[in-house]
Amino acid sequence: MQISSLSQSTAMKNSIANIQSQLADLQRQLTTGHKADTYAKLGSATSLVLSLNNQVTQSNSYIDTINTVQLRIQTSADALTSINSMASSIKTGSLTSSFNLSAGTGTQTSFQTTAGAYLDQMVSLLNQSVADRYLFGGKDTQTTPVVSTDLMLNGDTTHAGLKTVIDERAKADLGANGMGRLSTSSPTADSVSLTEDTGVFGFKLSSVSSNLSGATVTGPTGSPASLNVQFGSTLPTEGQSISVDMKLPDGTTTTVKLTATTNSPAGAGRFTIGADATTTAANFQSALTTSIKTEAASTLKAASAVQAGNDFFGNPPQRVSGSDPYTATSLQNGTAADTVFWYQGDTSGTAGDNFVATVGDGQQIAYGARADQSAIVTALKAAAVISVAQYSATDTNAAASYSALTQRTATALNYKGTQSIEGIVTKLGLQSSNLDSTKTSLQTQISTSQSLLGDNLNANDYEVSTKLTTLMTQLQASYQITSSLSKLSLVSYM
Amino acid sequence: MSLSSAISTALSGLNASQAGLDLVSRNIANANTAGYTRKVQQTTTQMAGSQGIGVSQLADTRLVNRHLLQQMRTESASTSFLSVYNNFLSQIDSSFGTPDSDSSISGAVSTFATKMQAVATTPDDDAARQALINSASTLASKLNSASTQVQNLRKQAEQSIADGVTQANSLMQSIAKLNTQIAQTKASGQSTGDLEDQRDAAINSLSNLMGVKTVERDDGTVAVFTTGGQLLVDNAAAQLSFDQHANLDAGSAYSTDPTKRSVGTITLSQGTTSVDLIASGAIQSGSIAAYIKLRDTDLPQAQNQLDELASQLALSLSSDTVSGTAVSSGGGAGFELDLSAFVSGNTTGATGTQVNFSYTDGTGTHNVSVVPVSDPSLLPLPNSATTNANDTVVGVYIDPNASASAQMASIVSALQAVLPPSLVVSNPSGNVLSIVDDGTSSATVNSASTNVVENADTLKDGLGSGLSLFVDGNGQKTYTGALGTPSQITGFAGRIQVNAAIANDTTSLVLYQTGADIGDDTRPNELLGRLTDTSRVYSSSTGIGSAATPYSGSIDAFARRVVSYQSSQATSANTDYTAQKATSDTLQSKFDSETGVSVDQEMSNLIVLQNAYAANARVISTIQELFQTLLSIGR
Repeated sequence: MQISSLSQSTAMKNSIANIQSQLADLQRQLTTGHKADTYAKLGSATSLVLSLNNQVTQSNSYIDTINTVQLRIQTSADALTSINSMASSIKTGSLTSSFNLSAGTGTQTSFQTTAGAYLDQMVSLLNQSVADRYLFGGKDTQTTPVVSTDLMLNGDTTHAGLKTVIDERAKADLGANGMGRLSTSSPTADSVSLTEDTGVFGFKLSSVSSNLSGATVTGPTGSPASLNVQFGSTLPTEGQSISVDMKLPDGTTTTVKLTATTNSPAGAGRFTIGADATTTAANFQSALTTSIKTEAASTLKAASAVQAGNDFFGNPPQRVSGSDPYTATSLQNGTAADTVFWYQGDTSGTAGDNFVATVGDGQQIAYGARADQSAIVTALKAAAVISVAQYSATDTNAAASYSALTQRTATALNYKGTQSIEGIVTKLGLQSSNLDSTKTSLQTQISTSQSLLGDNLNANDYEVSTKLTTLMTQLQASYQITSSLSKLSLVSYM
Repeated sequence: MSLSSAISTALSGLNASQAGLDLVSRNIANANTAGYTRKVQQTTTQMAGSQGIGVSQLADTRLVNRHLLQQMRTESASTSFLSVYNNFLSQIDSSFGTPDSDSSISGAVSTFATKMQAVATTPDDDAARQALINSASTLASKLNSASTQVQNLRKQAEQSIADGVTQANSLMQSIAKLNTQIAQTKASGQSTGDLEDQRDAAINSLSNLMGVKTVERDDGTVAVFTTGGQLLVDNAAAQLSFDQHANLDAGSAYSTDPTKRSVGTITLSQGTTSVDLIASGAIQSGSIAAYIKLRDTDLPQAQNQLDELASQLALSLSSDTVSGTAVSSGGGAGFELDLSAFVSGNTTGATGTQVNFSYTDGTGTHNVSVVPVSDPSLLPLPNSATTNANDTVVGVYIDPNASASAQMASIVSALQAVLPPSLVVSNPSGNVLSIVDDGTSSATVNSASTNVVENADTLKDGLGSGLSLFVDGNGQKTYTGALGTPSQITGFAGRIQVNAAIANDTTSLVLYQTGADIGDDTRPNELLGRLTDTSRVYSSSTGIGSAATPYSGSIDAFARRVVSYQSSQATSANTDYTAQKATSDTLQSKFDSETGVSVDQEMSNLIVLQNAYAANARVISTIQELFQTLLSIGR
């Protein structure tokens, strides 16, 4: 069979062109480092490459999220750890501090001054922000969550601060006569009645126990409750006593105990047994009045301050209703117009866990801490109430009142049966370590994906060079043959 | 027998050799001319009665294997087809960028999702929100430019068909002219080889355009037919015409019905008859067939995929399902749905797109989707009007000018018509649609809900938690995917845009209701979930998935599927092309080898002819000597 000259040269041209285009592609692979410059050239690996790319992008974005969230969690946890240690110091201080008014203030102990400084620090920690984002305001990240200590405690011309709320509550609880909204009376000459005032303030009679001979004790009954002590012909004897248990505004109780004595004057907590029922009753009434006033000025005052703290730190804050606190009978909601709202952040939903972050495919965590979480509020409240209480050196009940206040603070900061700040910190820490492990597994995933991507996308330099060499040899041979063939023509030999 | 007759015999030998040399020179001169076939000298003994009196020359012939030629044409037409096809598909593939850059639409969807995630993590960060809007714009413009590219390729295909038809006409004219010349030349006994070469070249070119078959006639002419059998050239050429449409868009489509056709078609006119060659499927091969297939099948499918992606992307963020309220009336139980978003006087801030419910009766559980349309000519709707494969679609014409109560009435009657009588559809009050069973039969309504799309201007306090982040076109129209002529989805990829109201005030990405805080991650988390976690069902008109088992997955998964679908189309087109090209190259090379000129062979012929010439000359000189000898006898 003959081979036409044209087909010979065409075939040669075609194969050389083919080798040259292969060379160009290999050269591209060598310079760019990538096997393919289009998805089509990837062939069946396209889907894999696309989904790996997506996975890497996605995982990187999860890691970004984790880093951001971890920073927030870590900063929150650090702030809360500091707040917790201050709360512990306040608790220890409450248990150990003695009532010595410091020379500087004259109205407060040095522990109270320290508590005030702690309050400042706590507020500033709660107002901490990360990247222009307040951490403890819930979803409202742009408003300073907690008002300044000054505003919180002192209020301003139109808004009542904690001090005002405590004052008002103290007046309401103690009453104008300092009897804790109780009154004594003698319905008959030989009997004494103790009666509560209407409303929520002051002492509330809960029970009474007595071993006074000849005395008939009834109540407390009725509403408002009242109790009655009817002395009889048989008179109490020395050492016999009667105890009245009363509920205090903050839910604690106290007891006023009066012991019968033959001494006259009887002394604190005692009443003189008179000659008959009538004088005994009169003595009893006056001793009861004195004891209740003392109890009111000490324990009730402390309990009232604690409850005022609860009122102020509630949402909405509770205020004594009416224009005259002494005669007030109920509380009302404070409004933004008349009372300082200490917490300015978001109040929707349950405090804490207000943010949701997606940290993996279908994997979400809820995180966050809010200044109005009860554990945090307890610490703030304790520091605030202690720091605003003022005492007078001349007040004989001051020491007892101080002690009643510090005891209550210490009890609240035990966090018995409620979530503590430590609990919140621990939870944040666990979340952070979970995020760490999620991050690690994401990083592993990314590196696996990337190595797979590399296998599919990257040109193997060795392979490419080998192919290049082979092709170059082939091309050289082709050129040589072309040149030899061109000489191989009958024309040359004629 | 005489010396004179010997001289004339030798002379005829000289002439034959000269003619042979002439032929050799022509063959050699054309050795490198494509399409030139080697001509062979044909000689026969010149007879005078029963006596040979020299050599007689016949017309030169060419040695062409007709069968091989037809085979080569068929394969070459396929190669042209695949060459064009491969070229276009690789252009789409290239538009996805390089795999390592991840700059494809699928990469843009991923990026969009990661920016959404960043906003979900830090909703109060203005920069993060802006970055999200930017990535949304990038995604929208990638869809726009992909759509534009697809339509540009269609326009290019339309133009190429026009060019191809012009070329085909001129080729057909040439063939007809050559046919006439060949018939005349052949009749006069002259060589037709070169004319045939030219005609073959013209037929080859025509075949590369549209794939033809030939039939040879005895008079040397060739009749050319399309592969479908329509006669293109016999003694005269038929006329092809193409009514090119200058402006093609996603809505332009071929239809055998000339009133609905919005792209050009090729018409064959011969005498008074004319045939639509695209409708008759006459053009199966060659580059024109490839352009037609691209214009009418592959590129529209690519557009469908882009449109579906754009549509699902927009709807994933903007559509909400509102569940019905369970009610019981009389002995029956069922659901009530508020259809305010579907009827006149709609102030809900959302547009109703579907009412879905499911009921069980004696024959099993049935899903019904009620789709409102504003054009009665669309009814009845096929079940493929929704992507749900297991539902019965009920199209309801809602006259846009009618009152709400009249519209409600038409919904009630359309719905009641397709439901068993044991289910009672009514409009108890206002815009409430009630579907309850009659309490006596076994039929029960399982669930009922409406599907609504939050309007483009509903940025907060919507019916649901959706947000129309993407809108339709410069008019910032809410994208609801409404059916129509054309449906809103048609070409949506070319029009999708970021809602300007959101771009201008990025806080609407976060503030989903009055009083919400800017640090609230509820909405971004919701949108992120819709984008990456929620599985959606995609229309099988995209060629991805089938009607019975449609493709379902997240938006980013579908985007990846679109890219890999197109690139695998390009891969297989390239593989097919390479294989086909090898086949046709082999045939071409075989044909060229058999019919082309081998210079060596011609040179050896030259030697033979030279020798023959010398020998004939020698005979003449010998005869001359003999004559001289003879004449010298007389001296």
